[in-house]
Amino acid sequence: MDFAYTEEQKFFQKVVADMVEKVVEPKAEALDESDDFDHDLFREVGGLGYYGLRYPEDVGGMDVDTQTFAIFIEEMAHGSFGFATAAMMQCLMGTHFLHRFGSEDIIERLFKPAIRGEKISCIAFTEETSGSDITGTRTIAKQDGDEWILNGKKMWITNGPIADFVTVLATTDPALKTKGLNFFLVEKGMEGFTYGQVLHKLGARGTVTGEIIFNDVRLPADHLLGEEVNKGMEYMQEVLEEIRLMTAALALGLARAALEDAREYARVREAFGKVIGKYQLIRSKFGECWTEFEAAKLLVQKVAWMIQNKIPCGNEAAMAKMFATEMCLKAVDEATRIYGGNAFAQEYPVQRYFRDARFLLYGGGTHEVLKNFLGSRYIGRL
Amino acid sequence: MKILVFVKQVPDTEALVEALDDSSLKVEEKFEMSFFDTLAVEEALRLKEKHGGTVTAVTVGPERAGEVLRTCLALGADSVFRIWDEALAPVVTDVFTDSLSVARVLAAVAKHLGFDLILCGKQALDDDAAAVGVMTAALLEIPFVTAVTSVKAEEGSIRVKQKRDGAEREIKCELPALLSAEKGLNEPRQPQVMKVMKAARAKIDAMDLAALKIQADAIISTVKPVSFTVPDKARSISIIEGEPADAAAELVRRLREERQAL
Repeated sequence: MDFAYTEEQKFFQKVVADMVEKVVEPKAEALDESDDFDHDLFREVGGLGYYGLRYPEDVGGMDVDTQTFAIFIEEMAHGSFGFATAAMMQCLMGTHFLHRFGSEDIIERLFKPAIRGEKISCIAFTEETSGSDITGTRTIAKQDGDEWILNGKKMWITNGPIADFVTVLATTDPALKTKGLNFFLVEKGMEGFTYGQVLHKLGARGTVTGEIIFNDVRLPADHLLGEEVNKGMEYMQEVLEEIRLMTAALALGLARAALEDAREYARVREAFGKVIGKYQLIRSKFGECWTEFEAAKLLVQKVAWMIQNKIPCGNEAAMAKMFATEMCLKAVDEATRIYGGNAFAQEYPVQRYFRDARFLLYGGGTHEVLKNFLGSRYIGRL
Repeated sequence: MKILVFVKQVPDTEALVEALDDSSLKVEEKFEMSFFDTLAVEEALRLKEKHGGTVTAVTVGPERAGEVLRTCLALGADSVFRIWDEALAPVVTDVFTDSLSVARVLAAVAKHLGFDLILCGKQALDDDAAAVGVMTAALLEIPFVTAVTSVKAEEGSIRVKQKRDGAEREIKCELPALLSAEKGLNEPRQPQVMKVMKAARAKIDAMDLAALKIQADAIISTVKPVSFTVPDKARSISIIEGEPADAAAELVRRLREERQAL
């Protein structure tokens, strides 16, 4: 058993951390304040090759292992959580199904430019009345000869309003529930594809999140992203573990940013004649958070190893996402307590961490859903 | 153009440094390439991209120092050399570098590899000695220009600028030469992931003194640290009360009269 990063992973981490510190982190505050998408930053990071990390070299990727990809996501979240969510969308959910099922034309015209940062991608699962419960999907696709006609609305779509293309989860028949789901590719400029309300978020700002609308959007046959019709649920399962793992990696990066800032504060802030880092109650907070951070990190490493070795890990990935998120929520909360009243001032980043962490609760499944899922798995069929 | 770049691994600017006693320091295990050296590497790469040639990065240091060479490879250096030998251990430590010893080694490396131009940072961020570059140039008996803020290659020569406090000086010097990089020379690039992954797998070989035909007894510490003193705690902050114009005038007075800063 070897818990250490390889020499390559260590070097990669250092290079990414340096890039994030110099390129991403200086923009974190402005991204949060404006909640605008920074196209220049997006292109710059893409131009360095990071969006293609998990894809094979023959399509312009880097073919790195899952642990190395998790390192990238963690470091990005350490610098700017909002931008990290956009980068993760681009690296993973927004491009995965194009790579898996895209025609040569789709790979050349959309996928390759996307991993170079030249096109913006996203995925659209959530609807007004369905989120973790994807059986509630109402966006409907009807076959018409060789083509598909798409109708419906998606909500809470990260970068949906500015994306060049969207991977859309839709059903051929709501009555079929999970057995009617499919992924479709919709491109900007297609007739009937528009966007509606842009949401103003509490945290994870710096992405344009909102509603996208499909009104009789006609899609060519190769825009069904799948080998067979109605296999969308199976295809989603292939990548769900990785999505949950990377959500956990986001939590690690954000928690580390909060704890490091709180540590710096505790080293210099004085109260009653000495720095607060000398008080046991402050040390106790770090003692707990550090321990839980390391435990979350171990879970992330384990799930990364399982995915890398193709070991089914639906349970462990759900645990990692949930545990790392809860750890992060506690870390950002304790950081605000260590900062005292200053945590309440927008002049300090700790309030941003506090708001950002809430985002983790929803992406990759709510904890109510995940606990129910894990509990039922543990108890077994009754 | 054959360009050599001398780089040094120094403690990260955020690394904790503790005084164990008055003659020894403990440095947190966080290291990085000295800032001014990153400018030297970038300039070397730009010259190569414009005029062709090769960029070879060299460092003197233990195994961990190989990381800065890996970074040079990731940025685009063609080859790298780490020089190390047990005889160097007493003169190149975590907290102290004997500049003349290192300059002797680097001069030998430069002769061994051959070069048209050598670039280095104007000083290392750990000891701020600003000595290795000029000493190496002296040992090689080649022109040396310190703290350059612009470099333009010409046929057989190089034209450089130095800027300070708004003033600017342009200098032409014959090649081969050694230049040291000043802030403002360029904006170092971020490495492409593809090169990062290649560099991550590269084997960084070490050369010892014998390979450079240097006798170990030539490495003699010329200066030695005697003691370290921890700096005083940061001075307390003063808030100057009153109307903004009056407070500003008082601030200027204090800076001028009490601190002699203006």
